[in-house]
Amino acid sequence: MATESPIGVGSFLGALDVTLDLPLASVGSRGLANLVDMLLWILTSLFLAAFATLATGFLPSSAAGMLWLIVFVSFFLLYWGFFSFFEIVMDGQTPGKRLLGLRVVSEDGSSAPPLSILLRNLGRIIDFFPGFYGIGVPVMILQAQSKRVGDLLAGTVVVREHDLRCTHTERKWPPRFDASDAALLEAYFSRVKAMSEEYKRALSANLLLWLTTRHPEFVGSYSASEPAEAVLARLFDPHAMAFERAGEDQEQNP
Amino acid sequence: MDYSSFCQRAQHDWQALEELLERVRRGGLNRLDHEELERFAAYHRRAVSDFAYARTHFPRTDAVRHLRSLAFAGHRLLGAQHEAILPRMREFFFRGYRRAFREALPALATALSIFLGATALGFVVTLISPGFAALFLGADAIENLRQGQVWTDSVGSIAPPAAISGAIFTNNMTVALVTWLGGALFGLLTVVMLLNNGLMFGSVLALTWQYHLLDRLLAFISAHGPLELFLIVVAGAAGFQLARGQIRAKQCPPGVSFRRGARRSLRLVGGTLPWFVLLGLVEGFLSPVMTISTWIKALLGVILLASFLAYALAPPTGAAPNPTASGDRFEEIA
Repeated sequence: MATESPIGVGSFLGALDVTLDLPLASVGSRGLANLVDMLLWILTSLFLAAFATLATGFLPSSAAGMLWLIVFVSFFLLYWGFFSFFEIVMDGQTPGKRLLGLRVVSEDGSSAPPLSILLRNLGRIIDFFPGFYGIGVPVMILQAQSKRVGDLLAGTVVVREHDLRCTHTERKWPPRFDASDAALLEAYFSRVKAMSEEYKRALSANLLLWLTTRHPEFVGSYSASEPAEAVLARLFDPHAMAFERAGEDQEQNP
Repeated sequence: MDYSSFCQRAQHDWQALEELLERVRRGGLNRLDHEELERFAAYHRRAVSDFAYARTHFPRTDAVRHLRSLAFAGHRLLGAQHEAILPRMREFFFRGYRRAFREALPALATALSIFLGATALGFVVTLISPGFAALFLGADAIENLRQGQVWTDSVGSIAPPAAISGAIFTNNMTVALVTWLGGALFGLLTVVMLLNNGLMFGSVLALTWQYHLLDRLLAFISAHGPLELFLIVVAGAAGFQLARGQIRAKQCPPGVSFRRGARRSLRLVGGTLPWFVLLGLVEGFLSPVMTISTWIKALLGVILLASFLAYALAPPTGAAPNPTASGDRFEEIA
């Protein structure tokens, strides 16, 4: 979209030669997701270590050797394969990425194949070098698509699917409402739950004023004593009885 | 067309697409039969075209966002590559790996000469000034050597062989992986790893020779040592391939050349790592047994190295993989 800067946006060529533009995840959200995964990773390691230590006490020494073989292999797999395992099984997501609504995809926007996922996560060791993503973070900040070295190796990007989560309900808008009015109300109602009462009152009054300026026929459909929030909510109701009446009122009292 | 009637007209198709997407998300494309698959593709194209229309005519509405998510999900799932694992593995071990190994021979020569050079240097410098070895081995280890103890003697007594095998092969794989991936720092970390390993090996040889313990050291290392060191050098070669993709971008964008180096070297390392498991077993179960003559161990060491080389250098066999499955479209053109 023209209003968005190309930095931080992934453009993929979709079917019918339509570009699919998607927001890309940047350092912040990916860092948070990584923190969640790291926590899970440390907990799993501790659990494994505790289990192995306890189990050695109960087992005869001949079996303890096999147990420790399994433990060493598990630690190796945990160290090198933790992220890859989740990203392959959960189609480009780890628990942390799912929590923050991020997903790994190939550069062309398709599901990242297992080999790419393996590469990008092996590359993590370079990104983490010399500690706490000392290389990965600067590379991500400088790279236009926020790729770290592992992503560069594998040809993958991380998209912010969270922004895509959107349920669209079909509504009957008033006859003269155009898409910009609809977009305004949709945007208002997507955020209304997070607003303070005071702010909501002020904003809804402003919005109603704006809408009635654009659509004078709408004035007759509500009384002055009705709070603006309630009028907007009535407007936004998918069954939209408010509008039929707005149209009728206009015809009755011109 | 106004916003309401646009949504009303296509709502049914969007919902049908959403249901199909949910099924594919859970079970993959294989879950759909032929007719459903065609329907999926058709609904997807419809959603993409609706998205393009809505983006132009109804910007910033919920419908655009919703359609973007539908179009993206369809694009992602329809573009996924599905391959049978077993034929792909066979193709890799009999063809892909051998080709990768042949391609890596120049890099292998470089890595081998750095490693051998460092070994010779470590050996000579330690002979001239024994204090040099303390840099790598620590003062304690040298004190033990002076008292006639080789740490390899105790390996068999500290833990059961299976545990030792596990610890050793995972540790060696980690060294190999770091040596390889270190190449992504313009080859620097790969060189450091090769130099470090070479200097360490050289100075251990020199020290044990000076203290007349060389025969005991050789008794421990000669079965697994030759191939193990060689495999680390192979990982070093993979690191150089990675670095080469990063530094020398010929006729293609730097990103593409980096990626190509990564895929090539991944093949090289992926086929090399399984050998560490075999070596770990030898090192855990055979090497600590001091009743086996060093000559027999050395013979085994030579056989292991020779069989690896025979495998890796044998002519690649089997059919070429499907080129569209390689995932790197630029690679087919270049």
